[in-house]
Amino acid sequence: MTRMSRIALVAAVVAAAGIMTARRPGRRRADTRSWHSMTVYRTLDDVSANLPDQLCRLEVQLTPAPGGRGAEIRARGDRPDAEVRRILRLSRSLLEVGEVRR
Amino acid sequence: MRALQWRGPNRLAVGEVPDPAIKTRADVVVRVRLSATCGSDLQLLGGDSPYVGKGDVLGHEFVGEVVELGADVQRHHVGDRVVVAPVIACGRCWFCSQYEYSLCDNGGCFGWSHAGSHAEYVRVPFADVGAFTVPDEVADERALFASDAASTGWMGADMGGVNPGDVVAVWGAGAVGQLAARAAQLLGADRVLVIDRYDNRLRQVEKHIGAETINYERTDVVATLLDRSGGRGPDVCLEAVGRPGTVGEAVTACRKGGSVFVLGLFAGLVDRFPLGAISVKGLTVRSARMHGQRYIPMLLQRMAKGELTTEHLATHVMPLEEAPEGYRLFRTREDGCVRAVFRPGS
Repeated sequence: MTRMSRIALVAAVVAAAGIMTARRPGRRRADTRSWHSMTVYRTLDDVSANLPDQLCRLEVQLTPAPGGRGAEIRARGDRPDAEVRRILRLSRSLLEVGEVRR
Repeated sequence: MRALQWRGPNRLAVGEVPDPAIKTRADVVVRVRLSATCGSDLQLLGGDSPYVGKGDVLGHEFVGEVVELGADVQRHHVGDRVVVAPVIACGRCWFCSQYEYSLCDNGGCFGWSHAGSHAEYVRVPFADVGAFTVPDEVADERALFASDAASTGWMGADMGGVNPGDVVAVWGAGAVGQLAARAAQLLGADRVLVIDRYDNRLRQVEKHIGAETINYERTDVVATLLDRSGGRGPDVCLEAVGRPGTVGEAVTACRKGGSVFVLGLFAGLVDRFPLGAISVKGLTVRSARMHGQRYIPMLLQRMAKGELTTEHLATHVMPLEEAPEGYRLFRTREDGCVRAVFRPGS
Protein backbone atom coordinates (compact mmCIF):
# COMPACT_ATOMS: atom_id res chain seq x y z
CA MET A 1 0.00 0.00 0.00
CA THR A 2 1.08 3.53 -0.70
CA ARG A 3 0.18 6.68 1.15
CA MET A 4 -1.76 9.32 -0.79
CA SER A 5 1.08 11.75 -0.24
CA ARG A 6 3.44 9.50 -2.19
CA ILE A 7 1.41 9.14 -5.35
CA ALA A 8 1.24 11.36 -8.41
CA LEU A 9 -2.33 12.39 -7.94
CA VAL A 10 -3.96 15.66 -7.22
CA ALA A 11 -6.30 15.28 -4.30
CA ALA A 12 -8.92 17.84 -3.48
CA VAL A 13 -11.22 17.87 -0.55
CA VAL A 14 -14.74 19.06 -1.26
CA ALA A 15 -15.46 20.18 2.24
CA ALA A 16 -19.12 21.08 1.81
CA ALA A 17 -20.05 17.60 0.65
CA GLY A 18 -17.58 15.89 2.89
CA ILE A 19 -16.07 14.19 -0.13
CA MET A 20 -12.42 13.63 -0.90
CA THR A 21 -11.63 13.41 -4.59
CA ALA A 22 -8.44 12.16 -6.19
CA ARG A 23 -8.11 12.88 -9.91
CA ARG A 24 -5.45 12.22 -12.51
CA PRO A 25 -4.09 15.55 -13.74
CA GLY A 26 -4.94 16.74 -17.23
CA ARG A 27 -7.95 14.50 -17.83
CA ARG A 28 -10.53 16.40 -19.89
CA ARG A 29 -12.77 13.82 -21.60
CA ALA A 30 -16.53 13.75 -21.07
CA ASP A 31 -17.50 11.93 -17.93
CA THR A 32 -19.51 9.11 -19.44
CA ARG A 33 -17.68 6.46 -17.48
CA SER A 34 -19.65 4.59 -14.84
CA TRP A 35 -18.97 5.07 -11.18
CA HIS A 36 -18.64 1.95 -9.05
CA SER A 37 -18.93 2.00 -5.28
CA MET A 38 -17.76 -0.17 -2.43
CA THR A 39 -17.89 0.22 1.34
CA VAL A 40 -14.79 -0.58 3.37
CA TYR A 41 -14.97 -1.12 7.12
CA ARG A 42 -12.19 1.33 7.91
CA THR A 43 -12.25 5.00 8.84
CA LEU A 44 -12.12 7.59 6.12
CA ASP A 45 -8.72 8.75 7.37
CA ASP A 46 -7.37 5.22 7.32
CA VAL A 47 -8.62 4.60 3.78
CA SER A 48 -7.32 7.96 2.58
CA ALA A 49 -3.89 7.35 4.06
CA ASN A 50 -3.56 3.82 2.71
CA LEU A 51 -5.19 3.90 -0.70
CA PRO A 52 -3.90 0.87 -2.66
CA ASP A 53 -1.78 1.59 -5.73
CA GLN A 54 -4.23 0.18 -8.26
CA LEU A 55 -6.98 2.39 -6.92
CA CYS A 56 -4.74 5.42 -7.19
CA ARG A 57 -4.73 4.96 -10.98
CA LEU A 58 -8.49 5.60 -11.08
CA GLU A 59 -10.59 8.64 -10.33
CA VAL A 60 -11.66 8.15 -6.76
CA GLN A 61 -14.09 9.75 -4.33
CA LEU A 62 -14.12 8.93 -0.63
CA THR A 63 -16.98 9.60 1.78
CA PRO A 64 -17.76 8.36 5.28
CA ALA A 65 -20.37 5.58 5.28
CA PRO A 66 -23.42 6.14 7.49
CA GLY A 67 -23.99 4.34 10.76
CA GLY A 68 -20.37 3.60 11.51
CA ARG A 69 -20.06 1.33 8.50
CA GLY A 70 -16.67 2.69 7.48
CA ALA A 71 -15.87 4.56 4.28
CA GLU A 72 -17.47 4.53 0.86
CA ILE A 73 -15.14 4.42 -2.14
CA ARG A 74 -16.41 5.49 -5.56
CA ALA A 75 -14.15 4.85 -8.52
CA ARG A 76 -14.17 5.09 -12.29
CA GLY A 77 -11.55 5.04 -15.00
CA ASP A 78 -10.66 4.18 -18.60
CA ARG A 79 -11.07 0.50 -17.94
CA PRO A 80 -13.86 -2.03 -18.37
CA ASP A 81 -16.45 -1.92 -15.59
CA ALA A 82 -15.53 -5.42 -14.46
CA GLU A 83 -11.91 -4.35 -14.04
CA VAL A 84 -12.89 -1.34 -11.92
CA ARG A 85 -15.04 -3.60 -9.72
CA ARG A 86 -12.16 -6.08 -9.44
CA ILE A 87 -9.82 -3.31 -8.30
CA LEU A 88 -12.37 -2.16 -5.73
CA ARG A 89 -12.74 -5.69 -4.34
CA LEU A 90 -8.98 -6.14 -4.20
CA SER A 91 -8.62 -2.76 -2.50
CA ARG A 92 -11.22 -3.62 0.11
CA SER A 93 -9.38 -6.84 0.88
CA LEU A 94 -6.08 -4.97 1.24
CA LEU A 95 -7.60 -2.27 3.43
CA GLU A 96 -9.57 -4.63 5.68
CA VAL A 97 -7.28 -7.62 6.09
CA GLY A 98 -3.95 -6.32 4.86
CA GLU A 99 -3.59 -8.75 2.00
CA VAL A 100 -5.55 -10.13 -0.92
CA ARG A 101 -7.59 -13.13 0.10
CA ARG A 102 -6.63 -16.38 -1.60
CA MET B 1 -1.48 -35.89 -0.87
CA ARG B 2 -4.69 -37.83 -1.51
CA ALA B 3 -7.96 -35.94 -1.95
CA LEU B 4 -11.49 -36.41 -3.25
CA GLN B 5 -11.84 -34.45 -6.47
CA TRP B 6 -14.81 -33.39 -8.55
CA ARG B 7 -13.95 -34.66 -12.02
CA GLY B 8 -17.16 -33.62 -13.83
CA PRO B 9 -20.95 -33.91 -13.42
CA ASN B 10 -21.57 -36.75 -10.96
CA ARG B 11 -17.99 -37.99 -11.34
CA LEU B 12 -15.88 -38.18 -8.19
CA ALA B 13 -12.47 -39.77 -7.74
CA VAL B 14 -9.71 -39.84 -5.17
CA GLY B 15 -6.44 -38.62 -6.66
CA GLU B 16 -3.12 -36.94 -5.98
CA VAL B 17 -3.11 -33.16 -5.50
CA PRO B 18 -0.33 -30.83 -4.29
CA ASP B 19 0.05 -30.50 -0.53
CA PRO B 20 -1.36 -27.20 0.76
CA ALA B 21 1.05 -24.59 2.09
CA ILE B 22 0.78 -21.38 4.08
CA LYS B 23 -0.16 -18.59 1.63
CA THR B 24 -1.00 -15.72 3.94
CA ARG B 25 0.14 -14.86 7.45
CA ALA B 26 -3.20 -15.75 9.05
CA ASP B 27 -3.29 -19.31 7.64
CA VAL B 28 -2.78 -22.63 9.31
CA VAL B 29 -2.49 -26.02 7.65
CA VAL B 30 -4.58 -28.76 9.25
CA ARG B 31 -4.16 -32.50 8.95
CA VAL B 32 -7.72 -33.74 8.50
CA ARG B 33 -8.88 -36.40 10.96
CA LEU B 34 -12.55 -36.63 9.91
CA SER B 35 -14.47 -34.91 7.12
CA ALA B 36 -18.23 -35.26 6.56
CA THR B 37 -20.49 -35.26 3.53
CA CYS B 38 -23.16 -32.55 3.54
CA GLY B 39 -26.42 -32.09 1.66
CA SER B 40 -25.12 -28.85 0.19
CA ASP B 41 -22.43 -30.87 -1.63
CA LEU B 42 -25.10 -32.64 -3.65
CA GLN B 43 -25.84 -29.42 -5.56
CA LEU B 44 -22.19 -29.30 -6.58
CA LEU B 45 -21.95 -32.87 -7.77
CA GLY B 46 -24.24 -32.34 -10.74
CA GLY B 47 -22.01 -29.55 -12.03
CA ASP B 48 -24.53 -26.73 -11.68
CA SER B 49 -22.29 -24.55 -9.53
CA PRO B 50 -19.97 -22.01 -11.16
CA TYR B 51 -17.71 -22.23 -8.10
CA VAL B 52 -16.41 -25.75 -8.67
CA GLY B 53 -14.22 -26.87 -11.55
CA LYS B 54 -12.69 -30.15 -12.61
CA GLY B 55 -10.09 -31.32 -10.15
CA ASP B 56 -11.35 -29.22 -7.23
CA VAL B 57 -11.33 -30.83 -3.79
CA LEU B 58 -14.71 -31.11 -2.05
CA GLY B 59 -15.63 -31.07 1.65
CA HIS B 60 -16.21 -28.37 4.26
CA GLU B 61 -17.23 -30.00 7.57
CA PHE B 62 -14.16 -31.28 9.36
CA VAL B 63 -12.02 -31.76 12.42
CA GLY B 64 -8.25 -32.04 12.34
CA GLU B 65 -4.89 -31.21 13.84
CA VAL B 66 -2.82 -28.08 13.24
CA VAL B 67 0.49 -28.94 11.58
CA GLU B 68 1.74 -25.57 10.30
CA LEU B 69 1.21 -21.95 11.38
CA GLY B 70 1.28 -18.60 9.58
CA ALA B 71 3.31 -15.82 11.19
CA ASP B 72 0.30 -13.87 12.48
CA VAL B 73 -1.63 -16.77 14.03
CA GLN B 74 -2.17 -16.14 17.75
CA ARG B 75 -4.76 -18.62 19.01
CA HIS B 76 -3.37 -21.90 17.73
CA HIS B 77 -0.30 -24.05 18.12
CA VAL B 78 1.07 -26.99 16.20
CA GLY B 79 -0.66 -30.10 17.53
CA ASP B 80 -3.94 -28.39 18.48
CA ARG B 81 -7.02 -30.42 17.64
CA VAL B 82 -9.42 -28.02 15.95
CA VAL B 83 -12.86 -27.93 14.43
CA VAL B 84 -13.18 -25.44 11.58
CA ALA B 85 -16.18 -23.42 10.39
CA PRO B 86 -17.04 -24.19 6.74
CA VAL B 87 -17.43 -20.53 5.83
CA ILE B 88 -14.16 -18.62 5.74
CA ALA B 89 -14.46 -15.19 7.38
CA CYS B 90 -11.88 -12.46 7.85
CA GLY B 91 -13.14 -11.17 11.21
CA ARG B 92 -12.38 -7.60 10.16
CA CYS B 93 -15.10 -6.47 7.73
CA TRP B 94 -18.39 -4.88 8.78
CA PHE B 95 -20.36 -8.10 8.38
CA CYS B 96 -17.96 -9.99 10.62
CA SER B 97 -18.30 -7.15 13.16
CA GLN B 98 -22.03 -7.96 13.19
CA TYR B 99 -21.26 -11.70 13.67
CA GLU B 100 -22.70 -12.44 10.22
CA TYR B 101 -19.70 -14.46 9.22
CA SER B 102 -21.15 -16.14 6.14
CA LEU B 103 -21.65 -12.66 4.66
CA CYS B 104 -17.96 -11.79 5.04
CA ASP B 105 -16.67 -9.48 2.31
CA ASN B 106 -13.30 -11.22 2.25
CA GLY B 107 -14.37 -14.79 2.88
CA GLY B 108 -15.27 -17.94 1.04
CA CYS B 109 -16.13 -21.55 1.73
CA PHE B 110 -14.15 -24.75 1.86
CA GLY B 111 -15.00 -27.08 -0.99
CA TRP B 112 -16.43 -24.21 -3.06
CA SER B 113 -14.15 -21.20 -3.37
CA HIS B 114 -11.25 -22.82 -1.49
CA ALA B 115 -9.81 -26.34 -1.55
CA GLY B 116 -11.96 -28.62 0.57
CA SER B 117 -11.45 -30.95 3.49
CA HIS B 118 -11.93 -34.35 1.87
CA ALA B 119 -8.15 -34.55 1.80
CA GLU B 120 -5.21 -35.42 3.99
CA TYR B 121 -4.46 -31.72 4.59
CA VAL B 122 -6.30 -28.45 4.16
CA ARG B 123 -5.20 -24.81 4.33
CA VAL B 124 -7.35 -22.77 6.73
CA PRO B 125 -7.29 -18.99 6.03
CA PHE B 126 -8.03 -16.57 8.90
CA ALA B 127 -7.46 -19.43 11.35
CA ASP B 128 -7.80 -17.26 14.45
CA VAL B 129 -11.36 -16.47 13.33
CA GLY B 130 -12.56 -19.81 11.98
CA ALA B 131 -10.70 -22.62 13.78
CA PHE B 132 -11.57 -23.62 17.36
CA THR B 133 -9.68 -25.87 19.75
CA VAL B 134 -11.65 -28.97 20.69
CA PRO B 135 -11.89 -29.76 24.43
CA ASP B 136 -10.03 -32.96 25.32
CA GLU B 137 -13.18 -34.69 26.47
CA VAL B 138 -14.94 -34.29 23.11
CA ALA B 139 -14.12 -37.08 20.65
CA ASP B 140 -13.57 -36.38 16.96
CA GLU B 141 -16.84 -38.09 16.03
CA ARG B 142 -18.77 -35.59 18.16
CA ALA B 143 -16.73 -32.45 17.50
CA LEU B 144 -16.94 -32.99 13.74
CA PHE B 145 -20.57 -31.87 13.60
CA ALA B 146 -19.94 -28.67 15.54
CA SER B 147 -18.33 -27.53 12.30
CA ASP B 148 -21.54 -27.30 10.28
CA ALA B 149 -24.59 -29.41 11.11
CA ALA B 150 -24.83 -28.38 14.77
CA SER B 151 -23.96 -24.74 14.20
CA THR B 152 -26.35 -24.47 11.25
CA GLY B 153 -29.14 -26.10 13.25
CA TRP B 154 -28.44 -23.89 16.25
CA MET B 155 -28.46 -20.80 14.06
CA GLY B 156 -31.93 -21.69 12.78
CA ALA B 157 -33.34 -22.07 16.28
CA ASP B 158 -31.54 -18.95 17.51
CA MET B 159 -32.27 -16.61 14.60
CA GLY B 160 -35.73 -18.14 14.17
CA GLY B 161 -36.41 -16.83 17.67
CA VAL B 162 -37.19 -19.99 19.65
CA ASN B 163 -38.35 -19.06 23.16
CA PRO B 164 -39.20 -21.13 26.23
CA GLY B 165 -42.64 -22.70 25.85
CA ASP B 166 -42.66 -22.60 22.06
CA VAL B 167 -43.90 -25.30 19.75
CA VAL B 168 -41.26 -25.79 17.06
CA ALA B 169 -41.59 -27.73 13.81
CA VAL B 170 -38.54 -28.84 11.84
CA TRP B 171 -38.74 -29.96 8.22
CA GLY B 172 -36.01 -32.53 7.55
CA ALA B 173 -34.57 -35.24 9.79
CA GLY B 174 -31.06 -35.15 8.37
CA ALA B 175 -28.16 -34.03 10.53
CA VAL B 176 -29.05 -30.32 10.35
CA GLY B 177 -32.74 -30.93 11.06
CA GLN B 178 -31.99 -33.22 14.00
CA LEU B 179 -29.57 -30.74 15.52
CA ALA B 180 -31.95 -27.82 14.89
CA ALA B 181 -34.52 -29.80 16.86
CA ARG B 182 -32.03 -30.38 19.66
CA ALA B 183 -31.14 -26.69 19.68
CA ALA B 184 -34.82 -25.79 20.00
CA GLN B 185 -35.10 -28.12 23.00
CA LEU B 186 -32.03 -26.61 24.65
CA LEU B 187 -33.44 -23.12 24.06
CA GLY B 188 -36.54 -24.12 26.01
CA ALA B 189 -39.09 -25.21 23.42
CA ASP B 190 -41.97 -27.07 25.02
CA ARG B 191 -42.69 -29.31 22.06
CA VAL B 192 -40.53 -30.11 19.03
CA LEU B 193 -41.79 -32.01 15.98
CA VAL B 194 -39.61 -33.25 13.12
CA ILE B 195 -40.98 -34.03 9.66
CA ASP B 196 -39.41 -36.43 7.15
CA ARG B 197 -40.27 -39.54 5.13
CA TYR B 198 -37.32 -41.79 6.04
CA ASP B 199 -38.26 -43.98 8.97
CA ASN B 200 -34.64 -44.65 9.95
CA ARG B 201 -34.04 -40.92 10.34
CA LEU B 202 -37.28 -40.42 12.26
CA ARG B 203 -36.27 -43.26 14.59
CA GLN B 204 -32.98 -41.44 15.21
CA VAL B 205 -34.95 -38.31 16.08
CA GLU B 206 -37.03 -40.21 18.62
CA LYS B 207 -34.09 -42.11 20.10
CA HIS B 208 -31.27 -39.56 20.12
CA ILE B 209 -33.04 -36.19 20.09
CA GLY B 210 -36.20 -37.06 21.99
CA ALA B 211 -38.48 -35.07 19.68
CA GLU B 212 -41.80 -36.10 18.18
CA THR B 213 -41.92 -37.19 14.53
CA ILE B 214 -44.24 -36.91 11.54
CA ASN B 215 -43.83 -39.05 8.41
CA TYR B 216 -45.20 -36.83 5.66
CA GLU B 217 -45.90 -39.79 3.37
CA ARG B 218 -48.43 -41.15 5.82
CA THR B 219 -49.70 -38.01 7.52
CA ASP B 220 -51.22 -34.64 6.63
CA VAL B 221 -48.41 -32.46 7.96
CA VAL B 222 -50.28 -29.17 8.37
CA ALA B 223 -53.29 -30.82 10.00
CA THR B 224 -51.04 -32.73 12.40
CA LEU B 225 -49.04 -29.64 13.34
CA LEU B 226 -52.22 -27.67 13.98
CA ASP B 227 -53.58 -30.48 16.10
CA ARG B 228 -50.41 -30.78 18.17
CA SER B 229 -50.26 -27.03 18.78
CA GLY B 230 -53.79 -26.51 20.01
CA GLY B 231 -54.92 -25.24 16.61
CA ARG B 232 -52.48 -22.31 16.72
CA GLY B 233 -49.72 -23.69 14.50
CA PRO B 234 -46.05 -23.92 15.50
CA ASP B 235 -44.51 -20.74 16.89
CA VAL B 236 -41.30 -21.35 14.95
CA CYS B 237 -40.88 -23.37 11.76
CA LEU B 238 -37.39 -24.43 10.71
CA GLU B 239 -36.92 -25.61 7.13
CA ALA B 240 -33.89 -27.90 6.80
CA VAL B 241 -34.62 -29.69 3.52
CA GLY B 242 -33.93 -27.33 0.62
CA ARG B 243 -36.64 -28.57 -1.74
CA PRO B 244 -39.53 -26.58 -3.24
CA GLY B 245 -42.72 -27.06 -1.29
CA THR B 246 -41.33 -27.24 2.21
CA VAL B 247 -41.11 -23.50 2.81
CA GLY B 248 -44.65 -23.03 1.56
CA GLU B 249 -45.85 -25.76 3.88
CA ALA B 250 -44.05 -24.10 6.79
CA VAL B 251 -45.75 -20.79 5.96
CA THR B 252 -49.12 -22.53 5.85
CA ALA B 253 -48.60 -24.29 9.18
CA CYS B 254 -46.95 -21.48 11.14
CA ARG B 255 -49.06 -19.65 13.71
CA LYS B 256 -50.08 -16.03 13.16
CA GLY B 257 -47.16 -13.77 14.00
CA GLY B 258 -44.78 -16.72 14.01
CA SER B 259 -41.39 -17.21 12.45
CA VAL B 260 -40.16 -19.30 9.51
CA PHE B 261 -36.43 -19.81 9.16
CA VAL B 262 -35.03 -21.34 5.97
CA LEU B 263 -31.86 -23.36 6.50
CA GLY B 264 -32.08 -25.40 3.30
CA LEU B 265 -30.02 -24.24 0.35
CA PHE B 266 -32.13 -23.25 -2.63
CA ALA B 267 -30.87 -22.48 -6.10
CA GLY B 268 -32.65 -20.23 -8.56
CA LEU B 269 -36.31 -19.30 -8.39
CA VAL B 270 -38.90 -21.13 -6.34
CA ASP B 271 -42.37 -20.53 -7.73
CA ARG B 272 -45.84 -20.42 -6.19
CA PHE B 273 -44.59 -18.87 -2.98
CA PRO B 274 -47.42 -17.99 -0.54
CA LEU B 275 -46.54 -14.34 -0.07
CA GLY B 276 -50.14 -13.45 0.72
CA ALA B 277 -50.16 -15.79 3.70
CA ILE B 278 -46.92 -14.27 5.00
CA SER B 279 -48.51 -10.84 4.91
CA VAL B 280 -51.92 -11.78 6.29
CA LYS B 281 -50.45 -13.92 9.07
CA GLY B 282 -47.77 -11.37 9.93
CA LEU B 283 -44.96 -13.89 9.66
CA THR B 284 -41.26 -13.26 9.90
CA VAL B 285 -39.36 -15.21 7.23
CA ARG B 286 -35.59 -15.28 7.49
CA SER B 287 -32.74 -17.29 6.09
CA ALA B 288 -28.96 -17.41 6.17
CA ARG B 289 -26.02 -19.56 5.32
CA MET B 290 -24.40 -20.66 8.51
CA HIS B 291 -22.57 -18.25 10.80
CA GLY B 292 -20.55 -21.03 12.38
CA GLN B 293 -17.98 -18.82 14.09
CA ARG B 294 -20.77 -17.38 16.23
CA TYR B 295 -21.80 -20.73 17.69
CA ILE B 296 -18.97 -23.27 17.55
CA PRO B 297 -17.27 -22.40 20.89
CA MET B 298 -20.59 -22.65 22.76
CA LEU B 299 -21.48 -25.89 20.96
CA LEU B 300 -18.15 -27.48 21.87
CA GLN B 301 -18.81 -26.64 25.52
CA ARG B 302 -22.27 -28.18 25.33
CA MET B 303 -20.75 -31.25 23.65
CA ALA B 304 -18.22 -31.51 26.48
CA LYS B 305 -21.07 -31.43 29.02
CA GLY B 306 -22.99 -34.11 27.12
CA GLU B 307 -25.91 -31.82 26.25
CA LEU B 308 -25.33 -32.31 22.57
CA THR B 309 -24.47 -35.70 21.10
CA THR B 310 -23.93 -36.23 17.41
CA GLU B 311 -22.08 -39.52 16.95
CA HIS B 312 -25.19 -41.34 15.70
CA LEU B 313 -25.28 -39.11 12.62
CA ALA B 314 -22.05 -40.62 11.26
CA THR B 315 -23.72 -43.77 10.01
CA HIS B 316 -20.95 -44.63 7.55
CA VAL B 317 -17.35 -43.89 8.56
CA MET B 318 -14.88 -44.99 5.90
CA PRO B 319 -11.39 -44.36 4.52
CA LEU B 320 -11.00 -41.41 2.16
CA GLU B 321 -10.27 -43.83 -0.68
CA GLU B 322 -13.91 -44.97 -0.47
CA ALA B 323 -15.34 -41.44 -0.63
CA PRO B 324 -17.03 -41.83 -4.06
CA GLU B 325 -18.97 -44.77 -2.66
CA GLY B 326 -19.70 -42.73 0.46
CA TYR B 327 -21.28 -40.00 -1.64
CA ARG B 328 -23.33 -42.58 -3.53
CA LEU B 329 -24.69 -43.92 -0.27
CA PHE B 330 -25.34 -40.43 1.03
CA ARG B 331 -27.11 -39.30 -2.14
CA THR B 332 -29.31 -42.38 -2.45
CA ARG B 333 -29.89 -42.74 1.34
CA GLU B 334 -29.07 -46.43 0.85
CA ASP B 335 -28.31 -48.57 3.87
CA GLY B 336 -29.80 -45.98 6.19
CA CYS B 337 -27.07 -43.47 5.40
CA VAL B 338 -27.48 -40.18 7.23
CA ARG B 339 -23.93 -38.91 6.84
CA ALA B 340 -20.92 -40.60 5.26
CA VAL B 341 -17.73 -39.50 7.04
CA PHE B 342 -14.23 -39.92 5.64
CA ARG B 343 -11.09 -40.64 7.60
CA PRO B 344 -8.06 -39.58 5.50
CA GLY B 345 -4.87 -41.50 6.09
CA SER B 346 -6.62 -44.67 7.22
